[in-house]
Amino acid sequence: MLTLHNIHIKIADKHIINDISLTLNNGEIGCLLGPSGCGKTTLLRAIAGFMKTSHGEIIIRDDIVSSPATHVDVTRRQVGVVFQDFALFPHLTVSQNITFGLHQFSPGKQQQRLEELLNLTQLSDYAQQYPHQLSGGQQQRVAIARALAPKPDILLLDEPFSALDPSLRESLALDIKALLKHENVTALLVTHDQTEAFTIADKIAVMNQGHIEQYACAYDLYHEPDTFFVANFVGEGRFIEGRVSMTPNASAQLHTAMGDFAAHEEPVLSPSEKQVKLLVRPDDFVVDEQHGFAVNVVSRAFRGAHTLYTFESVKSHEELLCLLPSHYDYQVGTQVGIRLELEHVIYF
Amino acid sequence: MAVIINKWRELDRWFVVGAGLSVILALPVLAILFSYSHLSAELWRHLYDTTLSEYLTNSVLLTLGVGLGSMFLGVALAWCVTQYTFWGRGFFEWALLLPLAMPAYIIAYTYTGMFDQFGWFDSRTLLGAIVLMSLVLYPYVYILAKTAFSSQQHTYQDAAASLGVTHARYFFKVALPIARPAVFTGMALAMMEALADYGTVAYFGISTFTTGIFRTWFGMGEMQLASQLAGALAVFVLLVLGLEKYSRRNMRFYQTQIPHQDMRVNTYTNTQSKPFLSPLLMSVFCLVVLAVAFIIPVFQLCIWAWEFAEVSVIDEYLSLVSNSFLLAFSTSVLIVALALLLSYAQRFSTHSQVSGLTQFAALGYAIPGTVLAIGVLQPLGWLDEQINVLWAFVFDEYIGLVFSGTFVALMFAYCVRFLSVALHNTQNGLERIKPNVDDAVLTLGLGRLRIFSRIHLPLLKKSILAAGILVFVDVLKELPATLILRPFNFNTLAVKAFEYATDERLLAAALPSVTIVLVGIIPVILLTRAMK
Amino acid sequence: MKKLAVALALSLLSPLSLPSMALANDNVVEAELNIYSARKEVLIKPLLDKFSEQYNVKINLVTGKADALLARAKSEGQFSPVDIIITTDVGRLARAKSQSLTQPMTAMLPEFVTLKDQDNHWVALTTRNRPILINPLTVDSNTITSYEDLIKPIFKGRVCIRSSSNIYNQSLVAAMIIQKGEEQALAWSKGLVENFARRPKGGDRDQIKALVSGVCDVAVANTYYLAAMRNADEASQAIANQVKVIWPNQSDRGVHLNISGIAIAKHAKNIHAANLLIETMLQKEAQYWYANTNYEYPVDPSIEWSGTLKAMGTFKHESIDLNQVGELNAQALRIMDKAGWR
Repeated sequence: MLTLHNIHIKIADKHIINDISLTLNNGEIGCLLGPSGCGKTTLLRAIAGFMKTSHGEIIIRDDIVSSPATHVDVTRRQVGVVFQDFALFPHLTVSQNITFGLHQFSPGKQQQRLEELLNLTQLSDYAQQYPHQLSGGQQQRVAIARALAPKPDILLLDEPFSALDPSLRESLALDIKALLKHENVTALLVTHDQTEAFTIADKIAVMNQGHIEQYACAYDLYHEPDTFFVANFVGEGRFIEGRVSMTPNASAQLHTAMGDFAAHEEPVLSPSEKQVKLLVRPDDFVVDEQHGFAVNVVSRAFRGAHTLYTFESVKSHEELLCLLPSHYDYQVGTQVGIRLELEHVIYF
Repeated sequence: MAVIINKWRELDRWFVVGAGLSVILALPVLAILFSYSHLSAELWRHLYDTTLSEYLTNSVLLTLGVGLGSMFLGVALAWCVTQYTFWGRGFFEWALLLPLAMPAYIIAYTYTGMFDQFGWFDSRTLLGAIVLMSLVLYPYVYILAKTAFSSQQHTYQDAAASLGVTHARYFFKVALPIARPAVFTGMALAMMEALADYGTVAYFGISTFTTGIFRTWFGMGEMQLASQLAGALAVFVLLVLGLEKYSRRNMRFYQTQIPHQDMRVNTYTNTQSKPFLSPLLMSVFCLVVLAVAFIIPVFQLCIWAWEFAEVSVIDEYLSLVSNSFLLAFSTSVLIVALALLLSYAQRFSTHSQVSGLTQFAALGYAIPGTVLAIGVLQPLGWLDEQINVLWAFVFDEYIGLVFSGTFVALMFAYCVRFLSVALHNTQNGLERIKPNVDDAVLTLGLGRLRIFSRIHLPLLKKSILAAGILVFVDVLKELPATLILRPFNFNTLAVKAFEYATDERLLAAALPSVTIVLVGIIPVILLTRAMK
Repeated sequence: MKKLAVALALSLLSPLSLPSMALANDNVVEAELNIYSARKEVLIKPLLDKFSEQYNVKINLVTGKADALLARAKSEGQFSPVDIIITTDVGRLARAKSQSLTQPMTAMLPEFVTLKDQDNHWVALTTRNRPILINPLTVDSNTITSYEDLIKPIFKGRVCIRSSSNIYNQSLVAAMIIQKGEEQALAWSKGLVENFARRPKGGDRDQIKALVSGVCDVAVANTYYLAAMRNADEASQAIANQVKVIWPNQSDRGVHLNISGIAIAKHAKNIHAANLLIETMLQKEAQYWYANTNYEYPVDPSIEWSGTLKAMGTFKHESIDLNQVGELNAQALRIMDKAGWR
């Protein structure tokens, strides 16, 4: 179990991490997702013990490992780390790399654990190879096996897929997830790639400028983002202009160029209005040539079962992304009628 | 088809360049090995019966001792300055290179003179030779190990630390093994220099292979046998080098990423509450080594020089300095260029033989300078003769010696002798650049020249500079080959220093000696400036 | 050639008038002279400069180890520029002759010249001796009067001498082979090794220092080292003055003698200048300077010794064929190898 309490980190008087709290239960896979420079790697390094926190506490299992008063050294934290470049020791074979952290174990135990991990990561045939003789995916598995070998309380993964071929990332991510679940290890992953995060993580903390915008599961982040940043960062989608009108004793209404929707607002005492932006996801549309709103096809990208269209609304000139089954075949420049079907009305 | 032909041509060219240069540079060594064509069983029998075992024992002990001594000093110092912050670190980082400028025979003469003066103890023992030589040869290891340690990926440290490995264990299990090619290269240079040393062992009266070579040559007048001994020495070195290479045949030491300039703080020394060595101890350690290897002898030399200095010879003296400097400078440029060419030939050529040929061409470092000089004279003398025959045929007159006794011969000898020093550096630098970097740039349509200037040169800058400096200092110190091959009326500082020293006039030798050291400091300082 | 002969004839009559004569008959000597010298530059250059000035001959000089220079001359072959070879040891001269690197000189040699090659391939310029040195405080000078005394049991662990790699020791043993036979020489070498106070190391000066510091009581060294020390800084003087020279074998064969000498290279192009230089070097002025700068003994007996040399006393030296000494060098080394003298 990993708990972060109000973590602040300063580097050279610059606040890199601002008041972050987060809990990860045993066996859960968490993810820090955010654009580069948001502080996610710094936070990971602080958890690993590579840097000190200036305020707050990091608790692994039941021990405070970082606080302003204490700092358990990285070598004694029992935290496994998988690095972006894997950091495999080039002069050691796969086996030697994996057993590197097992120096406290007896040779017999080392061998037993090694075989266990080689089987688990399907690397048995490569045990005597050197890292440079392996493919990227194999190298990653060695890195994970090495980090898992001493049975750490928590496994930290820093952008583990960024060095790999994008087309392989998703399948590799699933393999890794299965591996982590099999070992029942609590893991925290850092990435800027949401597909990775969605594939592998149970819970995702979206980070922005040193703080957490939202900490939730993938579904909630996508469909019920808490902040404009999350809505914008997670998933594809566009915002359209809207106006919320609130009247006492009546439900609030959201008016947009593409129709009116029920708005969820606290009851008000006197009528009021506000300008908002409504989140529209590409899968929020249906084709409706008769009653729909007219849009022009700006561009299209064929994706097999679906085609992703970029539309421009004829009336408000707003850009929309729309994912339609690929049997709808509209050419660029033609006019189409579409209708919004919102399951979650998200506006900010 | 055209593509294939083009490709073939290009590869072939590199082979031609690499093999051609290697063969030319290997000529002196070949000339020495050629001496085996006349083997005298009787002479070998005599050697075997009397002195050979002593030569072997002493040479092996000396070489191993200097290897281990310079490894210990070089690695320990490099580790300290790259990993820790302590008082004077910035200064020590470059100052620790200074002993390089001190020729082994000069430190030997200086300390012996001092100890005699104070009557403490006799430094003229095998152990004394090992210690003194290690003190001036460790910078070979230090400079290479320092580059290796500071360019190691920081994530290795992070990874090791997260696996519960302490800094000390990290050093032995990761940092040192990964730096192994560099450390071994440095050791090999130090060991070859120790093996080829004559001045120190002769003065100390230690019978080594080298003194044996000179005994058989000078004493018995048996140059053939001397050459055979030198050839055996070269073969021995070749074997050791080959063995080391073979032992790491499957490992790769590529840098997967170029280390950040704004290097992250050291994982271990940043977070660990106290390092396993106290900072004060490190300052003291660095200071002691520097003092013993450099400050004390230089100070002593300065005192002697001051006592003996004659103002009247200052003009002649200045020309000595400029001679030495210009020769060392131009030679080091030439040698580094050669080393680069050969390293690239090795990298680009598909013929694996190039590597072996180059290795062979670089053997000159292990051969005592005097023997090598004779090895240089033989092919050049032959060439001169052919040229004269040809010239006489065409113009009906002789043009005399074109190569022998000119700067051509001298610089050729330096190239053969010090190529190894430069080559180890350039190869080491290139080895750390993954070949797929080349491929990536080639596919972008950039030529090889562009790869070099845009990609490699910035990455190789340190290696090239290090190679240049090491060669510069080596040429500055070089004595036996210079003595024999130099043109008429041409003197260097080393020649002057040695003439006095062998004449047992230590005081007179002090001034040129200390000047060698001071001239040698200049590039060392430039190097450290450039490396920052 | 004729002109030169005249000049040479005149020079015999009045050696000191030669410079002006040669200059008057210009073009007699060549404009250049190339020298390979095993003698250190400081110990020869001033003399050469003077020669250069007097006869308007440009001197080109390379100094180095004798054998290395000979090897250079050999590999350069018939195109070698070298005219003059100067060495500090007879062995090298003999070796140069046997390797056909020299030619007979035509210079008119003064009558006092006896130390020369029978075919005029080389001539001695100075002589040098290798006597026994003792610490008079610990050794009674009566107990040691010959090289043979060095192997007496009373000197066990008390003798210092430098390595057998050193040419002076090789010549010493070679001379002994000539005079006493190979077997005796080997026995003597073995006996000497038995009496070593320490493993041979350092140069001749180091043996002298060892005498005074008490490492040993008896040493063998060339006189000019001792003489140089007696004329050096105070510390060296203090050491050197505590040492006494024993001229060995004065009742029989005499002290071991070696020479520094000069030869004309086989393929010399400037033969007249070369011969002229040899003659000049044998003149009084040159002899005086050349011998004195290195505290050696001039071959011209009429030249007065310096005070330092006088103080060391007069002596009888060996009279043997020096060429033979050179030729036996290798054999001497083998004997020392066998005796365990390193």
